Amino acid sequence: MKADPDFKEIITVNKLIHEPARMAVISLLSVVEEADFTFIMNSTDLTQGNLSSHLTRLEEAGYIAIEKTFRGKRPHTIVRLTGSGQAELEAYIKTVKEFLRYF
Amino acid sequence: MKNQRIGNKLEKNTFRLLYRDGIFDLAFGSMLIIYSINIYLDINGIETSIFMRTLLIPVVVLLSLVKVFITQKRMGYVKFKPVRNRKRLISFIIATSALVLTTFVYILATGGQLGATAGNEWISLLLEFVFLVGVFFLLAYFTDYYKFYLVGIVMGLASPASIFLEPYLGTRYFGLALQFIAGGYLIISGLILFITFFKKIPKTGNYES
Repeated sequence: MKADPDFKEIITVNKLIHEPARMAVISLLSVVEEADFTFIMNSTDLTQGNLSSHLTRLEEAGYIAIEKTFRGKRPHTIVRLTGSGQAELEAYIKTVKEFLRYF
Repeated sequence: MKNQRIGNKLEKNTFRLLYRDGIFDLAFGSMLIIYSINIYLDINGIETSIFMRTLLIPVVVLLSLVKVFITQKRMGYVKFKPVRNRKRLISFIIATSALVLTTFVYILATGGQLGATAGNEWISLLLEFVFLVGVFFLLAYFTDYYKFYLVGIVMGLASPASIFLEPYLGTRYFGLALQFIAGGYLIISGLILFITFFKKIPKTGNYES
């Protein structure tokens, strides 16, 4: 038998991850070791500017690590999920799944 | 546990993004078509050139070059987790072992030794079916390239179906036609993917932060 739904619980989900574009980026990064800017952009269909701003926000929160290098003369941005990003994603999935049990 | 399964599914789907340029479809489609043409020429005793017999090699080399120097660059760089690398290693071992075993069986067959020991044509056909389906199904599982299931079934069924259906259809080319059609399907789907890929994913370099 299910307990009564806890509406307060779902309100506490991490809103930084909850945003669809950031959710897509962080989910993708959770299943790979690392990926570059081009791969993430092509896989998520986000525009360059959009992805750039989402990556900055995730980096500021400490959920991803960004390494900027050069390939010849071209900039090459490599992104990977940090331990804290992985933990936040797992907590987010757990909370949402708990709530979705009531549907 | 369920979270892990969702993660696994997501990882598989992310890995399958590497096939969206259609190069794999084009390579295996070409393999089926070239293979079926060569078998057709052999059955009918038609003289053919060394070029036709080895045509698959330049085709695969050309497609590999396109993959490495054009499509992969546009796709971007991604490094998968060690589990995926293990799966890649296993697929490589299966493919290499299958190649070595096929060569070994071919040498035995051409040396006349297999015919003497096998005795029964149906047993050899069954072995061929199990071997081809087994190899391609294992490759499909480990590479997550699901069209290997189609390639495996078509390759495995080609010879037994041709022999079994010959009295009913009045032709022994059913298996070859099956391979040719499957190859054509893969080439068409590969071309569609290839064109869509180029339309959807512009040149790299324009996109970097």
